[in-house]
Amino acid sequence: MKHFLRQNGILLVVIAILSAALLWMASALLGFNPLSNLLGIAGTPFRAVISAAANWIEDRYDYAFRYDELMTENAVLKERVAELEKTIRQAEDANRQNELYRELIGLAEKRSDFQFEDAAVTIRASSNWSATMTINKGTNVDVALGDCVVDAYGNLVGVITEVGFNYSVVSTVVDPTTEIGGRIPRTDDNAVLQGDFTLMWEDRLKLSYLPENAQPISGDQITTSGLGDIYPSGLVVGMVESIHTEADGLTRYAVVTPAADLNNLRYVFVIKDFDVVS
Amino acid sequence: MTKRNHVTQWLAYTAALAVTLFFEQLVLSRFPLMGVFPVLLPIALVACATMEGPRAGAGFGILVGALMTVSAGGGVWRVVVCSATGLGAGLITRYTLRQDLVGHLLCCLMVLLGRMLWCVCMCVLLGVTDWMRLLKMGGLELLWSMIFAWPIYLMFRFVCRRWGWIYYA
Repeated sequence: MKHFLRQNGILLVVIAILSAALLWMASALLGFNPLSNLLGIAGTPFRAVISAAANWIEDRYDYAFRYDELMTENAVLKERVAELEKTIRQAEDANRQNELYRELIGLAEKRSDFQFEDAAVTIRASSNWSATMTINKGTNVDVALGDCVVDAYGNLVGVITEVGFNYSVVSTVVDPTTEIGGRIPRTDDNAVLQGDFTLMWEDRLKLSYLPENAQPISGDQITTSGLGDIYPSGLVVGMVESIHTEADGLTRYAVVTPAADLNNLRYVFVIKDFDVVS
Repeated sequence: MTKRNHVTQWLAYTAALAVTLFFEQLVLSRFPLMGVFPVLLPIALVACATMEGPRAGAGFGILVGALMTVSAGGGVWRVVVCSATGLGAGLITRYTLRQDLVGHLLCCLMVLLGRMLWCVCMCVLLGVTDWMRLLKMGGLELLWSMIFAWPIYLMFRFVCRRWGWIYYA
């Protein structure tokens, strides 16, 4: 080992220092890491192949072993669709009435349409220390850091935490680094939605900093609050599963079950832009 | 060894790495042990470095790091760390331990322990205070991964015997 290091040690050190300096300069000048970007671009076709193979295998597995379960699930979903259609009809009636009331008292509209970008999930990172997924859209379609990602039903999936030219990494709502303003629509209380390591392994997240007089109950829907105008408001995050007291015994937190099916998502939508009209 | 032999050798190692990745991402990810998945790519890296030495380990580490970056996201630091790990594993097994199963297992243990401690430290920096839960999870990941150290070593030894330096020695 001494002989090897004596022969090549200085060369290795010089190469390492020069490479690190070049990378740092490139990152400082360009504002992003060119090697990471290059790897991401080059890796996108491989991710697509791996994803296609994984989906094919999953489909064969489902067909072989989960056929009965899928048929039962199909029947349940059909029933649910019928119930939801009924709810939509009732909501449409309520909306029409609401429009009339708004015209009457002159309220300006608070929300405008989101600007969506559809994307496919190419890799679901199976790590014990984070909960992320990679999608196949990036800066080439104006996806940016901090953009929210939702599923086909408008449930919050996560937030973009890394973006390349044609790929983005989404930290899901159960990732420990996630922190978003949350709201309990039933009681109009605001709190903070946070990922938690111990809860991540159970596919759950935490609603912390509950106000003293807040009275959440199991089954309460949790949405984004939109406070600070960083993330849009009203996106459904999940439902309260249980209420607990923190270790200090003074504050409470709620365990939230995400509404989005994070383990089986194939297609998502990135909210590239939203306007809050006050 | 001719140039063609080298190309064949590294294609074989890449195929072995692809098999390892397949098992890690598509098979074992469906069967977590107490909610924990094993990590096989670092073990594959150590196996190649044990077989072929430090230079080959460093080069293979670049490939493993690139694969981890592509599959899990993150910066190019993974490539640097994996390359350094391959270089270190090759040096340790060649000059300090042995270039056999025992050396491979000990090196795997060191690499996985280092990875576990790094992850635990990052969690603590992010504000996690439940040490016992973190160490339990890290320990389970280490144990579950070490179970696969032996079959992965056998696979890479097969490649080395068939297409690597052992075949031509």
